[in-house]
Amino acid sequence: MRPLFLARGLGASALLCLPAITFAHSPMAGIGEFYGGILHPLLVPAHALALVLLALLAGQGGLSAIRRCHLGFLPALVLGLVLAGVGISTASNLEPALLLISALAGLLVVLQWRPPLAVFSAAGAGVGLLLGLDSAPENLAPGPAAASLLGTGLGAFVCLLLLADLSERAQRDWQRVALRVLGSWGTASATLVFALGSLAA
Amino acid sequence: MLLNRLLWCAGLSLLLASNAHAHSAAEIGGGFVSGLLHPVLGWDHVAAMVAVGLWGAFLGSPALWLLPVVFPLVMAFGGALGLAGIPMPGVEIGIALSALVLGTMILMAARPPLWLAGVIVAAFAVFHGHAHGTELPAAASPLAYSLGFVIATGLLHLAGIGFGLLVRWPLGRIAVRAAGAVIALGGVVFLGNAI
Repeated sequence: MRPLFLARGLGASALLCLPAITFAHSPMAGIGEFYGGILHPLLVPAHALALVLLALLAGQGGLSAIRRCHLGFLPALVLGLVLAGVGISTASNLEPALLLISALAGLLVVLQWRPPLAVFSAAGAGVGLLLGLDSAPENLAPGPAAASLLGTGLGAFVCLLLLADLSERAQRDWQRVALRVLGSWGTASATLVFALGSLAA
Repeated sequence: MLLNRLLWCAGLSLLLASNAHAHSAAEIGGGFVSGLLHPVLGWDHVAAMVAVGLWGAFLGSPALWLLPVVFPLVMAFGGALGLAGIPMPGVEIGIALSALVLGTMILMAARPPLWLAGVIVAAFAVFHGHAHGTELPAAASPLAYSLGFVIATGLLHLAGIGFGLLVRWPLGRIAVRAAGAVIALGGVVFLGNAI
């Protein structure tokens, strides 16, 4: 009887672990690692905020700023995701750095001050690298982990592309005001949580 | 039997531990909703936020959008002071005064220079931010919570602006000034409670 109990117990424990592993990275059960990866940048608040504010800033700077931003963002994102895939990234908390860039980008959106084009490349590269490094899948086999990382890269890229395009098209007065308001909301949130991480005892 | 129970417990604890590692959607959603509800559930906050929007609408452009943009930025500064543990005397009194002063400004149809209106709103935003900042550490997902309450703050400004746009008509102007009187009266009550 004892081996039978042991086998049942082990079996039950293994079954309990299975859904837990599925939930660990996929934001929605059953959609798979690739689609879960696509949603990942949108469901992690720090990632979503950084992407939105970077996109607003790039869009406000016009097409040349959007191009420069993507030139910095894409290679850095790929590098970050590759490093995350090989397990280099998970040691440190990267959220404060993302929040700091978000707060500065939001402030520039509020001021509607257009910085030199190199700033867009640098900001894109910074957000891309940090976002990639901070997207390391947990408890996944190499195949699903690669699918998840691929999805994350695609989701982040498409999100930045679409939002920057929307921001660039916002040319009417009330639309520019709406961008300023969004920038102020994002800056306020990022500043508060950055302060929470760095100033709170 | 004991071993079997232990294995069940081990299995359950593994399930719990892995949930804690994940970016829990429930935690993020809960933090966001909690932050969204926080300013709405405090009448002193509601009165001051609506007053900022009303006064902005009363003053017209660019105060219409400038005051609601300045408020969250300075509020974040106040929140950072609260998080850093820098004490600010009379936070509750400052919040109550914000409703009283801003309500009075609307009631009196005061039209100070834009910079002065900005300074008045910013000064009160520090008190609101300090109060929010000290509550932030308890939030399940701080960023989602802060996004929630900043957005709720903005929507309250928007509600004030929406009502404040009635100033274009003579009767609407009276209604807006009456709303200012109600907010100022509320401020007196909040001040009485704070003292």
